[in-house]
Amino acid sequence: MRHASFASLLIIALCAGCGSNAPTVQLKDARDAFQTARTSEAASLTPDKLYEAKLALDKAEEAHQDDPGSYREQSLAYIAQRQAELAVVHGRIAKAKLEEHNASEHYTELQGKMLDQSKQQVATTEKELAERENALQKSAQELEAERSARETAEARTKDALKSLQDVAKVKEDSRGTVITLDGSVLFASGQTRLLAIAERTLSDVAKALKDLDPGSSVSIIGYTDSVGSAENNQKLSEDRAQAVRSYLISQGVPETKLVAIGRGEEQPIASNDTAEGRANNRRVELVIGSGNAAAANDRSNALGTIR
Amino acid sequence: MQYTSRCLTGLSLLMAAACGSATLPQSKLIAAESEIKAAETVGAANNPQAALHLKLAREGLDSANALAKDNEEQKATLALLRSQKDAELAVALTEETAARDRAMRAQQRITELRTQ
Repeated sequence: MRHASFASLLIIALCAGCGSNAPTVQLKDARDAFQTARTSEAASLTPDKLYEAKLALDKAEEAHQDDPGSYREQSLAYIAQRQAELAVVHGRIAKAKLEEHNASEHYTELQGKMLDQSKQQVATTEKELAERENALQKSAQELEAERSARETAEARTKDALKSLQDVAKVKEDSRGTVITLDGSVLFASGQTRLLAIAERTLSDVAKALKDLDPGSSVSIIGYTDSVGSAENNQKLSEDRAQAVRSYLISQGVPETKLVAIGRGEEQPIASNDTAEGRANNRRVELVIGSGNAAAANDRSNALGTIR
Repeated sequence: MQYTSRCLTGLSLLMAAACGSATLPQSKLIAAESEIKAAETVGAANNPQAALHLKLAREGLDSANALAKDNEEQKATLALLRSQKDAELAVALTEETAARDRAMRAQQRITELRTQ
Protein backbone atom coordinates (compact mmCIF):
# COMPACT_ATOMS: atom_id res chain seq x y z
CA MET A 1 0.00 0.00 0.00
CA ARG A 2 2.85 2.33 0.85
CA HIS A 3 4.51 1.35 -2.47
CA ALA A 4 1.37 2.22 -4.39
CA SER A 5 1.19 5.67 -2.81
CA PHE A 6 4.81 6.33 -3.65
CA ALA A 7 4.30 5.35 -7.28
CA SER A 8 1.29 7.63 -7.55
CA LEU A 9 3.25 10.53 -6.12
CA LEU A 10 6.09 9.84 -8.58
CA ILE A 11 3.70 9.89 -11.56
CA ILE A 12 2.14 13.13 -10.35
CA ALA A 13 5.59 14.65 -9.91
CA LEU A 14 6.62 13.58 -13.44
CA CYS A 15 3.41 14.92 -14.89
CA ALA A 16 3.93 18.18 -13.10
CA GLY A 17 7.49 18.27 -14.41
CA CYS A 18 6.28 17.60 -17.94
CA GLY A 19 3.66 20.30 -17.62
CA SER A 20 6.21 22.90 -16.67
CA ASN A 21 8.35 21.97 -19.70
CA ALA A 22 5.45 22.11 -22.19
CA PRO A 23 6.43 24.18 -25.25
CA THR A 24 4.71 27.46 -25.86
CA VAL A 25 2.23 27.85 -28.73
CA GLN A 26 4.90 29.84 -30.58
CA LEU A 27 7.42 27.03 -30.26
CA LYS A 28 4.89 24.47 -31.47
CA ASP A 29 4.12 26.71 -34.46
CA ALA A 30 7.84 27.14 -35.11
CA ARG A 31 8.38 23.37 -35.08
CA ASP A 32 5.44 22.85 -37.48
CA ALA A 33 6.71 25.62 -39.74
CA PHE A 34 10.16 24.02 -39.82
CA GLN A 35 8.67 20.62 -40.73
CA THR A 36 6.77 22.29 -43.56
CA ALA A 37 9.95 23.99 -44.74
CA ARG A 38 11.86 20.69 -44.69
CA THR A 39 9.39 19.13 -47.14
CA SER A 40 9.20 22.20 -49.37
CA GLU A 41 11.33 23.27 -52.38
CA ALA A 42 13.66 24.90 -49.86
CA ALA A 43 15.25 21.51 -49.09
CA SER A 44 16.60 21.18 -52.62
CA LEU A 45 16.65 24.77 -53.93
CA THR A 46 17.57 26.95 -50.92
CA PRO A 47 19.22 24.65 -48.35
CA ASP A 48 21.09 27.64 -46.84
CA LYS A 49 17.78 29.26 -45.88
CA LEU A 50 16.59 25.99 -44.42
CA TYR A 51 19.77 25.79 -42.38
CA GLU A 52 19.21 29.30 -41.05
CA ALA A 53 15.69 28.21 -40.05
CA LYS A 54 17.19 25.19 -38.26
CA LEU A 55 19.60 27.40 -36.33
CA ALA A 56 16.76 29.75 -35.36
CA LEU A 57 14.67 26.80 -34.16
CA ASP A 58 17.64 25.46 -32.17
CA LYS A 59 17.93 28.80 -30.39
CA ALA A 60 14.22 28.73 -29.56
CA GLU A 61 14.55 25.15 -28.27
CA GLU A 62 17.52 26.24 -26.09
CA ALA A 63 15.47 29.10 -24.70
CA HIS A 64 12.72 26.60 -23.98
CA GLN A 65 15.18 24.35 -22.14
CA ASP A 66 16.68 27.28 -20.22
CA ASP A 67 13.47 29.03 -19.30
CA PRO A 68 10.30 27.28 -20.48
CA GLY A 69 7.40 29.52 -21.39
CA SER A 70 9.52 32.67 -21.11
CA TYR A 71 9.21 35.82 -23.24
CA ARG A 72 12.59 34.90 -24.72
CA GLU A 73 11.33 31.46 -25.77
CA GLN A 74 8.19 32.96 -27.28
CA SER A 75 10.15 35.59 -29.19
CA LEU A 76 12.83 33.23 -30.46
CA ALA A 77 10.15 30.72 -31.47
CA TYR A 78 8.32 33.50 -33.31
CA ILE A 79 11.55 34.39 -35.11
CA ALA A 80 12.19 30.68 -35.87
CA GLN A 81 8.71 30.37 -37.35
CA ARG A 82 9.31 33.39 -39.57
CA GLN A 83 12.72 32.03 -40.56
CA ALA A 84 11.09 28.73 -41.59
CA GLU A 85 8.43 30.62 -43.55
CA LEU A 86 11.20 32.65 -45.19
CA ALA A 87 12.93 29.41 -46.22
CA VAL A 88 9.69 28.20 -47.83
CA VAL A 89 9.13 31.48 -49.66
CA HIS A 90 12.75 31.66 -50.86
CA GLY A 91 12.38 28.07 -52.08
CA ARG A 92 9.33 29.07 -54.09
CA ILE A 93 11.16 32.14 -55.44
CA ALA A 94 14.05 29.91 -56.54
CA LYS A 95 11.59 27.54 -58.20
CA ALA A 96 9.88 30.40 -60.04
CA LYS A 97 13.26 31.75 -61.17
CA LEU A 98 14.23 28.29 -62.36
CA GLU A 99 10.98 27.99 -64.29
CA GLU A 100 11.56 31.41 -65.83
CA HIS A 101 15.11 30.46 -66.76
CA ASN A 102 14.01 27.16 -68.29
CA ALA A 103 11.17 28.84 -70.16
CA SER A 104 13.55 31.49 -71.51
CA GLU A 105 15.97 28.83 -72.68
CA HIS A 106 13.14 26.86 -74.24
CA TYR A 107 11.88 30.04 -75.91
CA THR A 108 15.32 30.75 -77.38
CA GLU A 109 15.63 27.16 -78.55
CA LEU A 110 12.16 27.20 -80.08
CA GLN A 111 12.82 30.55 -81.72
CA GLY A 112 16.06 29.16 -83.18
CA LYS A 113 14.25 26.13 -84.56
CA MET A 114 11.54 28.29 -86.09
CA LEU A 115 14.18 30.57 -87.59
CA ASP A 116 15.94 27.54 -89.09
CA GLN A 117 12.65 26.29 -90.49
CA SER A 118 11.92 29.71 -91.98
CA LYS A 119 15.40 29.85 -93.51
CA GLN A 120 14.90 26.39 -94.95
CA GLN A 121 11.54 27.39 -96.39
CA VAL A 122 13.05 30.51 -97.91
CA ALA A 123 15.88 28.44 -99.40
CA THR A 124 13.39 25.93 -100.84
CA THR A 125 11.26 28.71 -102.28
CA GLU A 126 14.32 30.41 -103.76
CA LYS A 127 15.39 27.12 -105.31
CA GLU A 128 11.94 26.55 -106.79
CA LEU A 129 11.88 30.09 -108.13
CA ALA A 130 15.31 29.61 -109.70
CA GLU A 131 14.14 26.37 -111.30
CA ARG A 132 11.02 28.06 -112.65
CA GLU A 133 13.13 30.93 -113.93
CA ASN A 134 15.42 28.47 -115.71
CA ALA A 135 12.44 26.64 -117.18
CA LEU A 136 10.99 29.93 -118.38
CA GLN A 137 14.29 30.93 -119.95
CA LYS A 138 14.51 27.54 -121.65
CA SER A 139 10.95 27.87 -122.96
CA ALA A 140 11.70 31.37 -124.20
CA GLN A 141 14.82 30.09 -125.96
CA GLU A 142 12.88 27.23 -127.52
CA LEU A 143 10.14 29.61 -128.64
CA GLU A 144 12.74 31.93 -130.12
CA ALA A 145 14.40 29.04 -131.94
CA GLU A 146 11.02 27.86 -133.23
CA ARG A 147 10.10 31.37 -134.35
CA SER A 148 13.45 31.75 -136.08
CA ALA A 149 13.06 28.37 -137.81
CA ARG A 150 9.55 29.27 -138.93
CA GLU A 151 10.75 32.59 -140.33
CA THR A 152 13.55 30.81 -142.16
CA ALA A 153 11.11 28.26 -143.58
CA GLU A 154 8.70 30.97 -144.62
CA ALA A 155 11.46 32.88 -146.33
CA ARG A 156 12.61 29.72 -148.09
CA THR A 157 9.07 28.96 -149.25
CA LYS A 158 8.67 32.52 -150.44
CA ASP A 159 11.91 32.33 -152.41
CA ALA A 160 10.99 28.93 -153.83
CA LEU A 161 7.60 30.11 -154.99
CA LYS A 162 9.04 33.31 -156.41
CA SER A 163 11.31 31.24 -158.63
CA LEU A 164 8.23 29.48 -160.07
CA GLN A 165 6.50 32.64 -161.21
CA ASP A 166 8.26 32.52 -164.58
CA VAL A 167 6.88 29.07 -165.47
CA ALA A 168 3.51 28.94 -163.70
CA LYS A 169 0.79 31.03 -162.11
CA VAL A 170 1.20 31.31 -158.36
CA LYS A 171 -1.63 32.61 -156.18
CA GLU A 172 -2.98 32.40 -152.66
CA ASP A 173 -6.53 31.30 -151.96
CA SER A 174 -8.48 29.69 -149.13
CA ARG A 175 -6.76 26.35 -149.77
CA GLY A 176 -3.23 27.77 -149.42
CA THR A 177 -0.64 28.57 -152.10
CA VAL A 178 -1.80 27.34 -155.49
CA ILE A 179 0.56 26.78 -158.44
CA THR A 180 -1.40 26.40 -161.67
CA LEU A 181 0.26 24.69 -164.63
CA ASP A 182 -1.28 25.08 -168.03
CA GLY A 183 -2.47 21.66 -169.27
CA SER A 184 -1.42 22.32 -172.87
CA VAL A 185 2.18 22.89 -171.75
CA LEU A 186 2.23 19.57 -169.87
CA PHE A 187 0.33 17.11 -172.05
CA ALA A 188 -0.71 16.62 -175.69
CA SER A 189 -4.48 16.59 -176.23
CA GLY A 190 -6.08 13.49 -174.68
CA GLN A 191 -2.67 12.18 -173.55
CA THR A 192 -1.29 11.40 -170.10
CA ARG A 193 2.37 11.36 -171.04
CA LEU A 194 4.33 14.48 -170.12
CA LEU A 195 5.74 16.53 -172.95
CA ALA A 196 9.50 17.10 -173.08
CA ILE A 197 9.02 20.81 -172.44
CA ALA A 198 6.81 19.93 -169.48
CA GLU A 199 9.60 18.01 -167.84
CA ARG A 200 11.80 21.15 -167.84
CA THR A 201 9.01 23.14 -166.26
CA LEU A 202 8.34 20.43 -163.71
CA SER A 203 12.06 20.20 -162.91
CA ASP A 204 11.90 23.82 -161.81
CA VAL A 205 8.76 23.05 -159.82
CA ALA A 206 10.51 20.06 -158.18
CA LYS A 207 13.43 22.27 -157.14
CA ALA A 208 11.05 24.74 -155.58
CA LEU A 209 9.06 22.03 -153.81
CA LYS A 210 12.24 20.54 -152.33
CA ASP A 211 13.01 23.93 -150.81
CA LEU A 212 9.61 24.12 -149.15
CA ASP A 213 9.15 23.90 -145.39
CA PRO A 214 9.62 20.21 -144.47
CA GLY A 215 6.22 20.28 -142.74
CA SER A 216 4.31 21.24 -145.89
CA SER A 217 2.33 18.93 -148.22
CA VAL A 218 1.38 19.23 -151.87
CA SER A 219 -1.88 18.12 -153.44
CA ILE A 220 -1.57 17.63 -157.21
CA ILE A 221 -5.03 18.10 -158.71
CA GLY A 222 -5.80 17.38 -162.37
CA TYR A 223 -8.66 19.08 -164.28
CA THR A 224 -10.00 18.73 -167.84
CA ASP A 225 -12.36 20.65 -170.09
CA SER A 226 -15.84 19.31 -170.81
CA VAL A 227 -15.03 17.79 -174.18
CA GLY A 228 -15.75 14.06 -174.16
CA SER A 229 -17.49 11.97 -171.53
CA ALA A 230 -17.27 12.95 -167.88
CA GLU A 231 -16.02 9.46 -167.04
CA ASN A 232 -13.16 9.69 -169.52
CA ASN A 233 -12.32 13.18 -168.30
CA GLN A 234 -12.24 11.98 -164.71
CA LYS A 235 -9.85 9.17 -165.64
CA LEU A 236 -7.73 11.53 -167.73
CA SER A 237 -7.44 14.04 -164.87
CA GLU A 238 -6.42 11.33 -162.41
CA ASP A 239 -3.79 9.89 -164.73
CA ARG A 240 -2.36 13.31 -165.51
CA ALA A 241 -2.14 14.20 -161.78
CA GLN A 242 -0.45 10.88 -161.16
CA ALA A 243 2.01 11.47 -164.05
CA VAL A 244 3.01 14.82 -162.55
CA ARG A 245 3.37 13.21 -159.09
CA SER A 246 5.59 10.44 -160.46
CA TYR A 247 7.81 12.91 -162.25
CA LEU A 248 8.20 15.10 -159.17
CA ILE A 249 9.11 12.04 -157.09
CA SER A 250 11.71 11.13 -159.74
CA GLN A 251 13.15 14.63 -159.28
CA GLY A 252 13.70 14.07 -155.55
CA VAL A 253 10.52 15.48 -154.02
CA PRO A 254 9.65 13.24 -151.01
CA GLU A 255 6.86 10.83 -151.89
CA THR A 256 5.12 11.39 -148.58
CA LYS A 257 4.64 15.05 -149.39
CA LEU A 258 2.69 14.43 -152.56
CA VAL A 259 -0.85 13.27 -153.22
CA ALA A 260 -2.50 13.05 -156.65
CA ILE A 261 -6.18 13.81 -157.16
CA GLY A 262 -8.38 13.82 -160.29
CA ARG A 263 -11.31 16.18 -160.59
CA GLY A 264 -12.25 15.65 -164.26
CA GLU A 265 -14.29 18.46 -165.72
CA GLU A 266 -15.49 19.68 -162.31
CA GLN A 267 -14.71 23.14 -161.01
CA PRO A 268 -13.99 24.90 -164.33
CA ILE A 269 -12.30 28.25 -164.02
CA ALA A 270 -13.52 29.46 -167.40
CA SER A 271 -16.30 28.77 -169.92
CA ASN A 272 -16.02 25.55 -171.85
CA ASP A 273 -17.85 27.20 -174.78
CA THR A 274 -14.74 28.90 -176.11
CA ALA A 275 -11.40 27.48 -177.12
CA GLU A 276 -9.59 29.86 -174.76
CA GLY A 277 -11.87 28.90 -171.85
CA ARG A 278 -11.38 25.20 -172.44
CA ALA A 279 -7.60 25.73 -172.59
CA ASN A 280 -7.74 27.41 -169.18
CA ASN A 281 -9.82 24.61 -167.74
CA ARG A 282 -7.27 21.99 -168.80
CA ARG A 283 -4.83 22.43 -166.00
CA VAL A 284 -2.94 20.86 -163.13
CA GLU A 285 -2.94 22.65 -159.77
CA LEU A 286 -0.40 22.09 -157.04
CA VAL A 287 -1.94 23.16 -153.74
CA ILE A 288 0.65 23.66 -151.01
CA GLY A 289 -0.59 23.36 -147.49
CA SER A 290 0.79 22.70 -144.06
CA GLY A 291 0.86 19.14 -142.66
CA ASN A 292 1.87 15.90 -144.30
CA ALA A 293 0.41 14.31 -147.39
CA ALA A 294 -1.51 11.72 -145.36
CA ALA A 295 -3.49 14.50 -143.78
CA ALA A 296 -4.04 16.02 -147.18
CA ASN A 297 -5.09 12.58 -148.32
CA ASP A 298 -7.77 12.50 -145.64
CA ARG A 299 -9.04 15.88 -146.71
CA SER A 300 -9.09 14.90 -150.39
CA ASN A 301 -10.94 11.61 -149.95
CA ALA A 302 -14.15 13.53 -149.82
CA LEU A 303 -13.28 15.47 -152.94
CA GLY A 304 -12.07 12.99 -155.51
CA THR A 305 -9.89 10.04 -156.45
CA ILE A 306 -6.45 9.76 -154.95
CA ARG A 307 -3.49 7.74 -156.08
CA MET B 1 18.14 59.82 -46.02
CA GLN B 2 19.79 56.97 -44.18
CA TYR B 3 22.14 59.46 -42.46
CA THR B 4 19.18 61.52 -41.24
CA SER B 5 17.49 58.39 -39.99
CA ARG B 6 20.59 57.38 -38.09
CA CYS B 7 20.88 60.88 -36.55
CA LEU B 8 17.27 60.76 -35.41
CA THR B 9 17.74 57.27 -33.99
CA GLY B 10 20.87 58.40 -32.15
CA LEU B 11 19.06 61.48 -30.86
CA SER B 12 16.15 59.41 -29.57
CA LEU B 13 18.57 57.06 -27.88
CA LEU B 14 20.29 59.98 -26.17
CA MET B 15 16.92 61.36 -25.07
CA ALA B 16 15.87 57.93 -23.83
CA ALA B 17 19.08 57.62 -21.88
CA ALA B 18 18.50 61.04 -20.40
CA CYS B 19 15.01 60.04 -19.31
CA GLY B 20 16.26 56.83 -17.71
CA SER B 21 14.93 54.50 -20.45
CA ALA B 22 16.83 51.48 -21.85
CA THR B 23 18.69 52.03 -25.10
CA LEU B 24 17.87 49.91 -28.13
CA PRO B 25 20.88 48.26 -29.80
CA GLN B 26 21.54 50.61 -32.69
CA SER B 27 22.61 48.00 -35.24
CA LYS B 28 19.44 45.93 -34.66
CA LEU B 29 17.26 49.01 -34.75
CA ILE B 30 18.80 50.14 -38.03
CA ALA B 31 18.49 46.61 -39.45
CA ALA B 32 14.78 46.44 -38.60
CA GLU B 33 14.09 49.92 -39.94
CA SER B 34 16.03 49.24 -43.15
CA GLU B 35 14.11 46.04 -43.75
CA ILE B 36 10.79 47.82 -43.22
CA LYS B 37 11.93 50.51 -45.67
CA ALA B 38 12.90 47.80 -48.17
CA ALA B 39 9.48 46.15 -47.83
CA GLU B 40 7.80 49.50 -48.48
CA THR B 41 10.05 50.13 -51.49
CA VAL B 42 9.33 46.78 -53.22
CA GLY B 43 5.60 47.41 -52.81
CA ALA B 44 4.71 45.02 -50.01
CA ALA B 45 1.70 47.19 -49.22
CA ASN B 46 0.11 46.08 -52.53
CA ASN B 47 0.40 42.39 -51.72
CA PRO B 48 -2.17 41.29 -49.11
CA GLN B 49 0.00 38.67 -47.41
CA ALA B 50 3.11 40.84 -47.51
CA ALA B 51 1.12 43.82 -46.26
CA LEU B 52 0.10 41.84 -43.19
CA HIS B 53 3.75 41.12 -42.33
CA LEU B 54 4.71 44.71 -43.02
CA LYS B 55 2.07 45.76 -40.51
CA LEU B 56 3.41 43.23 -37.97
CA ALA B 57 6.94 44.55 -38.55
CA ARG B 58 5.84 48.12 -37.86
CA GLU B 59 3.99 47.00 -34.76
CA GLY B 60 7.09 45.11 -33.62
CA LEU B 61 9.12 48.29 -33.99
CA ASP B 62 6.60 50.25 -31.96
CA SER B 63 6.59 47.50 -29.38
CA ALA B 64 10.40 47.60 -29.14
CA ASN B 65 10.32 51.36 -28.53
CA ALA B 66 7.64 50.92 -25.88
CA LEU B 67 9.58 48.18 -24.14
CA ALA B 68 12.73 50.31 -24.24
CA LYS B 69 10.83 53.11 -22.57
CA ASP B 70 9.82 50.65 -19.88
CA ASN B 71 13.49 49.81 -19.45
CA GLU B 72 12.93 46.29 -20.82
CA GLU B 73 16.09 46.22 -22.88
CA GLN B 74 16.21 42.47 -23.53
CA LYS B 75 12.56 42.25 -24.55
CA ALA B 76 12.96 45.34 -26.70
CA THR B 77 15.89 43.73 -28.53
CA LEU B 78 13.83 40.59 -29.16
CA ALA B 79 10.95 42.72 -30.39
CA LEU B 80 13.33 44.37 -32.87
CA LEU B 81 14.45 40.96 -34.14
CA ARG B 82 10.81 39.90 -34.58
CA SER B 83 10.10 43.13 -36.43
CA GLN B 84 13.04 42.55 -38.76
CA LYS B 85 11.93 38.98 -39.57
CA ASP B 86 8.40 40.13 -40.40
CA ALA B 87 9.79 42.81 -42.66
CA GLU B 88 12.10 40.27 -44.36
CA LEU B 89 9.12 37.99 -44.94
CA ALA B 90 7.14 40.91 -46.41
CA VAL B 91 9.99 41.56 -48.85
CA ALA B 92 10.30 37.86 -49.77
CA LEU B 93 6.55 37.44 -50.35
CA THR B 94 6.52 40.47 -52.65
CA GLU B 95 9.53 39.16 -54.56
CA GLU B 96 7.84 35.78 -54.88
CA THR B 97 4.81 37.31 -56.58
CA ALA B 98 7.05 39.16 -59.00
CA ALA B 99 9.12 36.01 -59.72
CA ARG B 100 5.98 33.99 -60.39
CA ASP B 101 4.67 36.68 -62.72
CA ARG B 102 7.94 36.63 -64.66
CA ALA B 103 7.87 32.84 -64.91
CA MET B 104 4.27 32.93 -66.14
CA ARG B 105 5.09 35.60 -68.71
CA ALA B 106 8.04 33.54 -69.97
CA GLN B 107 5.70 30.58 -70.40
CA GLN B 108 3.15 32.78 -72.17
CA ARG B 109 5.82 33.92 -74.63
CA ILE B 110 6.39 30.28 -75.59
CA THR B 111 2.66 29.73 -76.10
CA GLU B 112 2.47 32.88 -78.23
CA LEU B 113 5.46 31.82 -80.28
CA ARG B 114 3.91 28.41 -80.91
CA THR B 115 0.65 29.95 -82.12
CA GLN B 116 2.41 32.24 -84.62
